Amino acid sequence: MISEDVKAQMREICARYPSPRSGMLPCLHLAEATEGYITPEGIAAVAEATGAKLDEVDSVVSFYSMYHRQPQGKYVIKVCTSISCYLMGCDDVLAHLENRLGIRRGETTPDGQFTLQCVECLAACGMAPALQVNEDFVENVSLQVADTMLERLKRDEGVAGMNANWDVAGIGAGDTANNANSANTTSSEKKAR
Amino acid sequence: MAEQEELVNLTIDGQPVSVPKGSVIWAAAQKLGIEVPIYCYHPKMEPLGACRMCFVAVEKMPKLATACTTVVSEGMVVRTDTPAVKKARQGTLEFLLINHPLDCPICDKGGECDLQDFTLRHGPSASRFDLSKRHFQKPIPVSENILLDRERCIACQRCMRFCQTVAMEDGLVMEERGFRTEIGVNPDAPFDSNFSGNVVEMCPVGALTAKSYRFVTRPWELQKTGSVCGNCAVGCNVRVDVRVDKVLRQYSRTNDSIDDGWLCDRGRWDLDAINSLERLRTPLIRKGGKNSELQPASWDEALTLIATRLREITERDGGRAVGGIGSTHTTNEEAYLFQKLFRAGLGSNNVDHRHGRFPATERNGLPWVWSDSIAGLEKASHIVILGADPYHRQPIVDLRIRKAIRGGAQVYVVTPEPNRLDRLATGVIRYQAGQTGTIARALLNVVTAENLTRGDFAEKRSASLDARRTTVAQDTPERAAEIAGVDAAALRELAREIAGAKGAVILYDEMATLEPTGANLAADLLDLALLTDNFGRPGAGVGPLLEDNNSLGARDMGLLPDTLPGYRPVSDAAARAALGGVWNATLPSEPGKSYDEMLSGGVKALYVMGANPASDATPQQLAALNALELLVVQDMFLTETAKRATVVLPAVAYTEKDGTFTNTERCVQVVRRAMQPLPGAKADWEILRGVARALGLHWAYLSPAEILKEIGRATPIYAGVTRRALGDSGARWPLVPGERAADGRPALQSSPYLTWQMVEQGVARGIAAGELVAGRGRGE
Repeated sequence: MISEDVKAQMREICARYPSPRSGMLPCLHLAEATEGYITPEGIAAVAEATGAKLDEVDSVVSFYSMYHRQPQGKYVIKVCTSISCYLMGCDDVLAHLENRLGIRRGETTPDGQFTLQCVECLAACGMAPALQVNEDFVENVSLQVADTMLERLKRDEGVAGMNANWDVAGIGAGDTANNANSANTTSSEKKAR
Repeated sequence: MAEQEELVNLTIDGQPVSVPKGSVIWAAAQKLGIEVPIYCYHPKMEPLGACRMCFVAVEKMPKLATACTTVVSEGMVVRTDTPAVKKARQGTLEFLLINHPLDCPICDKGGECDLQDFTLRHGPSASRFDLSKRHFQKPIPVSENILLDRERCIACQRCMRFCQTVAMEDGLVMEERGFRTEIGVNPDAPFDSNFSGNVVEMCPVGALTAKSYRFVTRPWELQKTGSVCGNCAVGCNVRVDVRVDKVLRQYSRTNDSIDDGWLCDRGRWDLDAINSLERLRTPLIRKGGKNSELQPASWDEALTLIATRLREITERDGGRAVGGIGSTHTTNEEAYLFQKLFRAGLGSNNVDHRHGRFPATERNGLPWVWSDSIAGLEKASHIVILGADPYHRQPIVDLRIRKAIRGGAQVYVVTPEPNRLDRLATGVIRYQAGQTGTIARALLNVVTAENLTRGDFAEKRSASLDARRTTVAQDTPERAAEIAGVDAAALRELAREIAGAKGAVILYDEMATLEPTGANLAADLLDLALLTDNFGRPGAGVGPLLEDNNSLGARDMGLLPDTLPGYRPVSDAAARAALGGVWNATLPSEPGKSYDEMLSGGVKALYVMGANPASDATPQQLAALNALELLVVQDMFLTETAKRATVVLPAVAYTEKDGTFTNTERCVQVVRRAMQPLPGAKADWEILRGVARALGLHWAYLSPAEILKEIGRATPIYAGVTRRALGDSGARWPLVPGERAADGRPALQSSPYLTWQMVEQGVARGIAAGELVAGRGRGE
């Protein structure tokens, strides 16, 4: 249900841009945040706010993997399967996650906790294989990292904290990387090689 | 033509070429006849650069460039034949073919497919892909008429861009991305556009196919003839595709000045009448008098019967006792012969057609014509749609209005009913049905009362301006609000917009003139345009949107009781004498009976060609039809009217004969025979020639071209109109002298718009045009 208040917010978003159509992505985020996923009603509301046609909004929704057509799990795990991640072993990660969660890619666990998806390039090729849990990136994913990640998610601890460390480790110079208290063994191993 | 287009010089594969500034390399190569393969690019749409098929090498550019997005520059050196270019094209094609099913033997597109053709000419000879291709359900409907085969799609996005940027309607969109990209439709926004068929024509592969054409033929079995669509008054240029004795489809034969390369679905697919098994194949007559059955007869029998009875009746009661109802579907040549048969052969002015009411306007009898052109819409700053529905009735005009909107034109939709253009309009004004005339007068009131008139005409003809001011003094928008339930303020604002416009085009539907308030609609709107200086240049003008393929031609040719061909009154002795001279006959001076009068017992014998008055007649009119001494009906079908006839003559469709049509913007165009006439049936002009001969007249016409030549002599506004002058893309009357051709022959060119001086000097009476041509055009 998209309330009048949400519709007003959408109009307000669109008013920030020279062309109201430019507000389409934030409006869709708002629709998804409001209803949990993108419903036909959400599409209609965004079309109205942006002045775009229904079918155009529909097309945009289908283009971006961060919008969903069905109710999603609490944690949506999006595994990148584009070329860099593929070369770095995303298939193993995916298979492992499928085994651990007991679902196939595209599905949601019966308890509504996890959704597992394959997506096109997440623009994290330098830290492949990469995946995304809701808004947060997890990079250089090994099977062990995947396990750690799942444990943390089951305890509702999120993955954001882990990422901060990896960012320092991944981007910083050699010394910091060694000192970092990182759970990312794959990354360290690679550096050692 | 005043501004010279700036040209850019470049070479492609060593050949020099000059193209207008801003052209892309593809267009320059096209001009040289060098093929640069394209999938996503379409010359009528913005470049996209998605398919990566059109790579060319440009000197000094580090990488290959896409010819469809790279704009030419002075001195550019382009090569389309380097090893790098060949390799790139092969690579693109190899990728495209990885998932393409190669089901060419059963694909409708096979034989006219760009994927086949470019693979032959530019592609790799083998594929390195030996895994399984992906498969989808085959095919899925995307609309009522169109099916999608996703396996064949190469995601060029032409169809999506047509729907979104050209038609500007709900329709096809791209769904998903990357290799999952496919064409889709949102169920809440179905693809029900009147322009949908264009995506089938522009699909470079067999992904989008028309339901009516699936598995019906191979393209190389088709006989293709360039002609003009016979479905509405726009006159889009088509290629009629015939297999043996059936028209299977009409494709666009691009004429930028009329259709801009598009067709509507009606024109493309609505061909059932031509292919119908119900068509008449033999003349029918009632041998045993009025109450006997219609029975097959020979042409001789039928024509003799008609001539005998017509002679009997005219000898007994005079020419006034016979009348003819002509057609807005037949060619100019046929309409012309029809009225000639009555005027010269039977001494009767009783000729008319449905919608024939046509009170002369005050401006020297200017016919109700669109003073500008379809292409001119693109130059307008304002377009006013008054009581018209071009989307349904003249679809390709609607499409051109959409193009004008993209170019910045403001559209005002002033109609009783919701209109498909509402969503795109700057202003929408609703009023009660039947009140179009009230709206026009209110607009005129604002313009005169607020002194918004301007321009040459208003200054030089101030007397008529003053007269106008008086006649509409009471018709304020506020009064219109009372009568017609219209928003007075919006109407007032619209009048001011029209008066201040850089160029406004005002279009109304011819049907609006038949409303009780519509008698002076054409005259009022003509004055509105003249007094606000919205006349006499491209992108400014006024005129009706007509209904049928030859609605205007029927009028031009004098299928009217009170005017001779070319809108000269029958009461004009000089005009009668001139025409009588051409025809070698004395013409009746008294105006004839109108359509309604003839149908209400005004005549004893009625000849109906290509019309079906009984389908919407009143009980009194039906009784009068039944009471006729002689009813001749000439048609493709046994219509309601034909069932009442004494003699029925089988006619053929426009795809089975030669001739010309005149579209709603005065463009006379050549229609060509695309197939053998149905056995037993004849073209209307042949039938009329037969009737005339049976009546003892010496009609020797051998072809429609010969009749057209006579029309040029007999109809001043058609002076100079010959098959040669019309060429492949037609010409707008009146033809005026242009620059002399290289061989010194006088060249005639069409008038894309009328000026008020042309109108006043008598385009309608044809004096100006007739003299212009008579002085020069001896060779033709």
